Amino acid sequence: MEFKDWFCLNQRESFTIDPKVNPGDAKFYFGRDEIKKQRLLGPLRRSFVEPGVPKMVIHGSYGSGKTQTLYYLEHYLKTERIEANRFSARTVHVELEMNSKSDHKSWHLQLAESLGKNTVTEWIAKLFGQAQSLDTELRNVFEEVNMTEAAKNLRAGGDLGLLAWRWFCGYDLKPNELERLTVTRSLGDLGAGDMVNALVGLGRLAERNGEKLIFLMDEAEQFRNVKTGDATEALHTYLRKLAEPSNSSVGFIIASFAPTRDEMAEILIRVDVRNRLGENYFVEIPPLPSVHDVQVFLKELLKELVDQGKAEKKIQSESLGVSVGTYPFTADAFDRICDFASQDPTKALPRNIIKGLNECAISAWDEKKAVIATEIVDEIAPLVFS
Amino acid sequence: MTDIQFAEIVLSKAVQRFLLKFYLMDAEIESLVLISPIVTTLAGTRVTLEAVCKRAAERKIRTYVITNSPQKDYQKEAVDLLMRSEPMEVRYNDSLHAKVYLCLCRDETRSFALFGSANLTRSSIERNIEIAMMIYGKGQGKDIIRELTRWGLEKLRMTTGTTVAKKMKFARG
Repeated sequence: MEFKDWFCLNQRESFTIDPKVNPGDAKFYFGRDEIKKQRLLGPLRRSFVEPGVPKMVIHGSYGSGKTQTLYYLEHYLKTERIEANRFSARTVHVELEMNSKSDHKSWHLQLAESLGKNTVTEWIAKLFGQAQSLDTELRNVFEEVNMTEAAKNLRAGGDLGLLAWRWFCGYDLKPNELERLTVTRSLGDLGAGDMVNALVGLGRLAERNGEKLIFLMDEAEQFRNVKTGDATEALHTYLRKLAEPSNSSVGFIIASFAPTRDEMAEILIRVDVRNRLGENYFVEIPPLPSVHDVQVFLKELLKELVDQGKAEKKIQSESLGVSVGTYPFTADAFDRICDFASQDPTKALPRNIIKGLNECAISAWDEKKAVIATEIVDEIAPLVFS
Repeated sequence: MTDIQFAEIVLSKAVQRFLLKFYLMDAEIESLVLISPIVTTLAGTRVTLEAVCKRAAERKIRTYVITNSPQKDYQKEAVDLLMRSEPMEVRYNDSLHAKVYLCLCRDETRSFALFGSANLTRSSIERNIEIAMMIYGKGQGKDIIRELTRWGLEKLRMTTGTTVAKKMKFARG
C-alpha cells in the first residue's frame, strides 16, 4: 500500500503543502484566524477603496509562512468577491533577485519580465478591438508620448514588437533602435520615476481591460544584497514612487524574511515609504504563539489533508481507537507533538510543524504502524524542533 | 532575470565539487541528501565520507542517504560509517539508479544540488567519464531544487521498495 493510502490522504502524496507545486494548496491558511482576518484580509479589502489597489509588506522568520501567505492572498483576490473592487486581479509572482550592484533597472526588469510581453500585447489588442482610436486610448493610458509610441509598436509583433518590449523592460537601446520605435530616449534615462510611470501606465492598461495589476514579490530580503549607495537610492525612489497614493493602478504585496520589522532591508522601512503605505500595511507573520495555536493549526491542516470519510472507516474497521480529528496521531501523540512544537516559540513555525508531521508519518509507515504513537513523536520531534 | 546563472554543467570531479562546496559552506545548512546507488568511503579524495559525516555531526545537519543495499566490502565499509553517524538516516532501494545530491540551506538562495551520472565513489571522481549538472538556489534554480527535494526527501523515501536501514536519532545535549 502506498503512503497516501496508508494515511487516507486527500488526493495528495504527502502531508506537505506547497502552492508552487500544487496550486490547489493556495487556499490553505491554517490556525491564524486573527492574522488572516484582521491583519491581512481587512487591510486588503480596505486597500481597494483607498488607495485603490493593495500595497502591503509582510515579514517573518524562515518557515513562518510568508510564501503561503502570498499565495493565499492571491487565492483570496481571485476567488472572493471584493465589493469595492470592480476589477479582477491580475496577480504576477516575482521572486526577487538582487546582487551588490542591482538597482531600479534590475527591479523594473524583473517586474516587467514576470508580467510578460504576451500579457501586455493581449491587453493592447483588446483595447484596439474596443476603442475608436487606439492612438487616443494609448495616449490617455500612458500620458507620455514615448510610452505611447512604444505601446503602439508592441502591436506590430516580430522584431519591432520585441524591440518595443525591450524598451518597456528598460534596456538601453541603440540610437537606430530608438529611431525605429520613434521614441526619443530609452526608458529609465530620466531615472527611477520614469520606469515607475511606465509600470503604472501598464497598470492603467490592465484597468482598461477590467484587471488590477498586483505584483506578489517574494524574498525581498534580497534588497539587503545591494551595497552600492546610488543603487540603493534608486531602488528606494522606485519603491517610494510605487507607494505614492497617486498610483492606484499597480498594487504590490512584498514578502521579506525578517523576524522583526527592523531587520528588513532599510529601503522598505524608511519613513517616507512607511508613511505612504501606512503602518497597518506592514504585517508580521509570527510563529504560532501557544500550544493551543499549534493544536488549532494542526487540526485544521489534518482536516483538509486527510480524507475524513476514509479515515473514519479505517479507524472503525481496524479498531484504531483514535479520533478522526487528530488522525493519524493518537490523542497522546497529538498533544505531545504540539507540546514539542511550542517549547521554543521561535521554532513553532508552520514549516517545522508540517515537517514534523510528515517525518512522523514516514516513520510510522516505515514500521507499518497504522497510527503515530507517542514513541514516534518522541523520536522525531526533537530532530525537527530542537 | 535572464542573466542569473542557476545551472552549470560539471565535467570533472563533480561529486568532489559538491562535497567541497558543502564542506566549506558558511550558511546554515538544514539537510544534506545523498542519493547514489553506490557509496564508498572516498578515501584518498579531498573530502572523504568520514569528513562529511563529521561536519554534519558537528553542525547537526540532518543527513539522508539513499543507496543500494551494500553487496561488496567497499560498500559495506562506507555504509558502516554512515550507520555510526548522527543525525543520519540510511535507506536502501535496489532499483535506485539515480544520482542526486542536495545541500539544503535555511536561506533557500544558498542551497545547491548536483545530479548526473556520478556515484558517490572515488572512481567517479578520479577515473570515470561523468557529466553532472550543478544547480544553485537562484532564479529558476530554486524551483528545480524544490522539485528535486520533493522527489528525494518525499517520493523516493516513501516509495515501495525503499526500506529504512537506519533511523535518525536525536542526541540530547
